Amino acid sequence: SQGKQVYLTKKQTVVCQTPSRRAEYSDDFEICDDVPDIAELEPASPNADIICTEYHIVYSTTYCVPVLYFNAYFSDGSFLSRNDLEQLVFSKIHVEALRTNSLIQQGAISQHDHPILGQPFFYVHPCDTSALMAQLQIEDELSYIISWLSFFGPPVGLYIDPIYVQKN
Amino acid sequence: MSKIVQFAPFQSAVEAPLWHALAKKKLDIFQLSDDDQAIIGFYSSGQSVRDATTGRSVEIPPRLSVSNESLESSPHEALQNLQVNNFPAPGNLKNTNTIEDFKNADKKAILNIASEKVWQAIVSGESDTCPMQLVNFTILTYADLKKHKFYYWFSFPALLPSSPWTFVNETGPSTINESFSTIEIDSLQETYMEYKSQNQADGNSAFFLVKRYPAADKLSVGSLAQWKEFISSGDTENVLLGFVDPSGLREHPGWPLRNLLAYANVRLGLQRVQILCLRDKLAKNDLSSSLLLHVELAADAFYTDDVGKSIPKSVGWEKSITGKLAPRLADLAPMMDPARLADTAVDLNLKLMRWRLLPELQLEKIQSTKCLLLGSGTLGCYVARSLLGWGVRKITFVDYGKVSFSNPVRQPLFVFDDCLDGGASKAHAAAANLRKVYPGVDATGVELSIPMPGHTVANESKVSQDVDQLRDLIASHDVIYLLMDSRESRWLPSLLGAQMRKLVINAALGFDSFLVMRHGVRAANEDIDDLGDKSSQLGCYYCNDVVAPTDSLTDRTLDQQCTVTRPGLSSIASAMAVELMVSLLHHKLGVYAPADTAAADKEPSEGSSPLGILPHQIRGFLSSFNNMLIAGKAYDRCTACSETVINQYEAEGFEFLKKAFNDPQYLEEVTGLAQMKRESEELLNNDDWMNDDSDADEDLV
Repeated sequence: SQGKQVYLTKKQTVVCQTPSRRAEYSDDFEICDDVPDIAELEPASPNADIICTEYHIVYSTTYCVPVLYFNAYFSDGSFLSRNDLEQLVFSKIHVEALRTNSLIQQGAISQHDHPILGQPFFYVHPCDTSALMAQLQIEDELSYIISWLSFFGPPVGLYIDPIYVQKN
Repeated sequence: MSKIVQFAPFQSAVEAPLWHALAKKKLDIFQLSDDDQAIIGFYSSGQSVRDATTGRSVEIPPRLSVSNESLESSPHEALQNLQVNNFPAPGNLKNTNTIEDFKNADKKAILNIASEKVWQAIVSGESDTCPMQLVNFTILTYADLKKHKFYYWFSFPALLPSSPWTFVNETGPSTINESFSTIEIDSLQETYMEYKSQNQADGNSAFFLVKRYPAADKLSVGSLAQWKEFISSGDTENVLLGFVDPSGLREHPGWPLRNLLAYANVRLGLQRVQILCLRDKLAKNDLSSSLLLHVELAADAFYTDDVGKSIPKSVGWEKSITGKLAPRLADLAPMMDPARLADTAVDLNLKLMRWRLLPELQLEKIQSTKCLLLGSGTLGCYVARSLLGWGVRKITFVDYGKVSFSNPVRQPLFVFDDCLDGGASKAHAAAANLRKVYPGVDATGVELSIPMPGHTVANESKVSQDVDQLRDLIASHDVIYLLMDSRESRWLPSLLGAQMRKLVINAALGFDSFLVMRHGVRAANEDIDDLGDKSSQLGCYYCNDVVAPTDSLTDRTLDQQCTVTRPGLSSIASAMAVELMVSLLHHKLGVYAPADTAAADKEPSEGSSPLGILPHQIRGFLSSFNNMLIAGKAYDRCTACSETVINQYEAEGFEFLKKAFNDPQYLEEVTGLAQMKRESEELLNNDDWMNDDSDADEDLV
């Protein structure tokens, strides 16, 4: 029988200042509003946009470890490029390390078709995950995932709520 | 002066799959129709998120989302499939066929139509049982399917009273903790959850009534339709209008309240009303962020002075990111255009090299180096492929020949079909096939015959044009590769390249040996101080010759005409030629870089290439799998790069070249090679050692 492919997802929102290149065309289309409206709240910061980040944990049968896939979108649905991710989503202190191999051993950010959804996703390369995880003493599957996530998540903007590590 | 209630407007949030769905629908279903399409959007309770870098809490403004389900499912299905923490908003999508239609669409009229829907839902009583009509919205779109760009404009109609709602007390919204006891809040949480589980449909869990029983510390929740029942006991001050508030702002309720207040005034007849802005923390059933508002409308204020005839004024077009009343644009080319996907993948691949191994790699410099390939045979094809691998974007092929049947197996840019019908032009076929490998490359083919010394000029004006064309090509590129199959064809580009101080890279093949070299360049006056003396100038292909290049092609036998080489040789030589260029591009001195001859014990000199040493000439021998690195100085009597020849060319131009083409002896005269030969012959002839027998052996030694 065929096994079902599953993966875990988490979505979160991030507020950011958009790069100015994203809004250059609109002068042509601007209209005048002749209905005065003092009851509408002005936006607190101009050029602010909200980014949705989406993280998937997918099991890699090649490396036999979980792999963190992710993408981020602006409010118009367009994807963040690698540069955008570095500026707006990735943890600042990890940006340089993520480019080289010094952070997560051989880990680096790459782009690939999502193994289940088939669309382009960024991911953290898993080639040294098993060596890294072998150094920890893991009791059960849940602890494994939480420990693993606490390594790989924060550099790419996925912060783990402390509630996950509380005993319950 | 009363404090005016200011509402946080909805911000649109489009999920990328909507655009895919819209593109598909446009092609399959809409085609040229611009009829309205019913869609269901959704919103959720207002949130604060923690900013990871600052640790501060950031309040999220109201967001109304649409995704592909909004478009692909029927409204009924979309409503069924709504996630537990999302609340529905019925809407219309109007897709225009041209950008002009989009620009010229009557925005006022579109807003009025949407507002009218809200208004009718209120006055007819429809919103009593289907309150999601209060968050009706519209999207105007234009899909440019060629460029994968989507213009869009959301409109969230809000009915306007003649004067604004104000707070009863001056302070504004209070938190739920300030007005309700803990027990009351618990009761509310429980009751609302129960109510919600039973009343998901039609937005009934998004807009509802709350009744307080202060004596019993209890609350009950009901639908808007239950209004009469809720106020039947007379204590209207304990009945609140509640709604799920998409705003996460502490001081401001979200946009849906505007139409809810219109409902309260017009349908329920209220001039003053208490509002519960329900905010559920991360769907944990923690309502502690909820707000309470006590608001009123001035006694003479109205929504419309004639309920039967006119609809109230309204606002609602969403502002652009920069705050103007203008549409938004989603540029999805990077994600949808396969050519862009190829760009990104190739670029990322090269960057990984830089990030992981060689931070000093100047990828942008390599990418922007314009390469001219003179000769599109085995060397030309392999050089082009290697350049492509390095991300070089501009590659120009020059060749005069046609693809013949023996070519494709050795020349990897040609296929069998290129040989048919007399054979395609090599230069054009190479460029076309290179584009098939990577569409982002700017590859051009030029059919040009390069004039050569020893080949008499038959048609002077044609040859002059060819020279000019070659000149322009060399001038407009950064690196010139000499990849032809004859010696004399390399002369003219060597001269021109030397005169223009270009980087010329020469590759030549023997049967099982090759030469790859970079031509030295004479220092320009302004560079001389930096580069030391002129004697360090490296040589060119002709610097080691004492005869001028001459016709080597006519009257040759078949085996002499075809350059027969071991097949593996050309890919080795071509790859070397490209890597030599890349190394040189990283050297601070560029074309003036001195020659390295050995790898061992080499201290990297200042400005040297991070990729390794930089030889002048590489001679490879396949029979011994061995390479030799050689350096040669420039020869002051060189027929191609000496000052004499360059000055003569600069002085006489085409006339000089014509003489060289027609008579190779001319070059030997001009450079002084002929004189030198005469002198050495005289020396030999004048030597009387033949006359003296006895001392013959001694002298010979």
